[in-house]
Amino acid sequence: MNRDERYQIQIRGIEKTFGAHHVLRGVDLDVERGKINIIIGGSGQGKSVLMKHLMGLLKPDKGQIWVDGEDIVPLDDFELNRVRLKFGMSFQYSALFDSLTVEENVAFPLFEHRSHMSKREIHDTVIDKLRSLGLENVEKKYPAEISGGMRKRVGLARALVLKPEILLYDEPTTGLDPIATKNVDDMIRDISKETGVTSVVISHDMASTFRIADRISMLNEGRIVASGTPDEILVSQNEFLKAFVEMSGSVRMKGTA
Amino acid sequence: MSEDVEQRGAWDRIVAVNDKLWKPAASMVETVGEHMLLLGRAVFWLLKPPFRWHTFVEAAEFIGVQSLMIVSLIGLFVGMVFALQLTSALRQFGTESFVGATLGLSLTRELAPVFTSIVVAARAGAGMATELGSMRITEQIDALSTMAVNPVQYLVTPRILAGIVMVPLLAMLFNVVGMAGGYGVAVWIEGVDKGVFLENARWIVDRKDLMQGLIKATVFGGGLALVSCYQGFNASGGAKGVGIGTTRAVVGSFVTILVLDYFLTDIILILQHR
Repeated sequence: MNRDERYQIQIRGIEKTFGAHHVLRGVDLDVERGKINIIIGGSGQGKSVLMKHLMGLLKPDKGQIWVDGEDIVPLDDFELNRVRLKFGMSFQYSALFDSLTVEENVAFPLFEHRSHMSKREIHDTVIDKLRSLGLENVEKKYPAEISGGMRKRVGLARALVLKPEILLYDEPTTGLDPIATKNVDDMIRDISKETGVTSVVISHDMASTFRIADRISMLNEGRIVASGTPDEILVSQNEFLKAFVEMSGSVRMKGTA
Repeated sequence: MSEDVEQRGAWDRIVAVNDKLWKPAASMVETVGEHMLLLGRAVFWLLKPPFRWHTFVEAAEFIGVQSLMIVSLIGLFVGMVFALQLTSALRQFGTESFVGATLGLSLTRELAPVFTSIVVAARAGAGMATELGSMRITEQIDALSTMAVNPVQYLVTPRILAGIVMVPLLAMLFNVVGMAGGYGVAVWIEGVDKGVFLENARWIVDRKDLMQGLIKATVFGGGLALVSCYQGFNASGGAKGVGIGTTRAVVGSFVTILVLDYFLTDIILILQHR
């Protein structure tokens, strides 16, 4: 396959079946380098499954996944760890280690992968990172002792602390009120601007998708049915996409009254 | 027409037999196979860098140190009740001088490894299954993978290793405490001569018996940790799933320990008497 430098991740024809459930039915996806790429789709359409394929947490039954031109499907767990270091992931429910404090959570990747750093340096890096995300005086607390929104930011700090090239967000705004949603949107956009990281966001929130996306891909019934810039998406003739966008009520498709 | 019905009846019976006998048997073989795969991965990752001492020390502390009290308590009472039963039984034949020896043999060969493993499975095995199960359903295990830390290497390998190291040590403690309890009951309460008790025990029980028990404890320790980690690691479906996993971890560990006990004993006895 011809490598296109514009895309950091390229996926061709991946299929995945769980038991009798055919979740992905030949997904083609391009993830643009340094941009905010959003994958939208309804519940149970396999968005999370697709995301888990991006960094090799799941292996497809069929198809290829190129990350920076390297097909990661044939790699074993040991080799995949090298690829995974390019990624950071922010989980829907944060997935913080509840037996560790906030500081220990954010320091965890540093202890694992930056063994040359002293404890002092790690501490300072962690505090800096937390502060840059608006978190102060929480480092000694346990995840259970802080709010959901704060946990989300701690999870993001943990994902960012190794300075990944690609950042994955699993449903970052689900369950948040409109103001918190806007804050998370701004955060994603700021991080993207400041660090130049490639962002991949899974979402079913149309309003926030159109607010921040550089590129939108719509997943339906195990396939990408439309993809392009937000403007391209708005003029798309795909029936499902039209219905999905209009049902969400947040943006109007062009050409409709 | 009637032939057709008869044939269908025969087919239905075959299907029914298949459902009743073959499917459960096949799924059991599959489960054992999956345990072996997990064990294989745990060994593979043991050989790969880095070795995280702190995860091993934490697991050893949880499995071993935190079981000291309960293993001692149970060892003491098992030794005591065994001495009581043995004195009353052997007295009928006028052979109560062999209480110490019989108690020593039973403890070192069977009671210490089996009881210790069962206590550890109920305490630490259940704990490990719950912990890993909660980590699974809250995506903490996925989070480890995303940070390029292999979850088997980080969570399973140290726990199996700790089971292998700590359970035989606990079984040794069980031996000592059990023997002490038995001595107390036999000598102080039942009036068995203390010199005879000790001398016969020393004469009959030798290093082979001790080794047999410790080898078994080592295998049981690894086995119960493997079963518990497997159940936690594969938990699904929320709090209820974690509960089911924990129950299965304890029941599975007990069955594993007792089944392995029979076959291991058989093998060891054959090897020792060659």
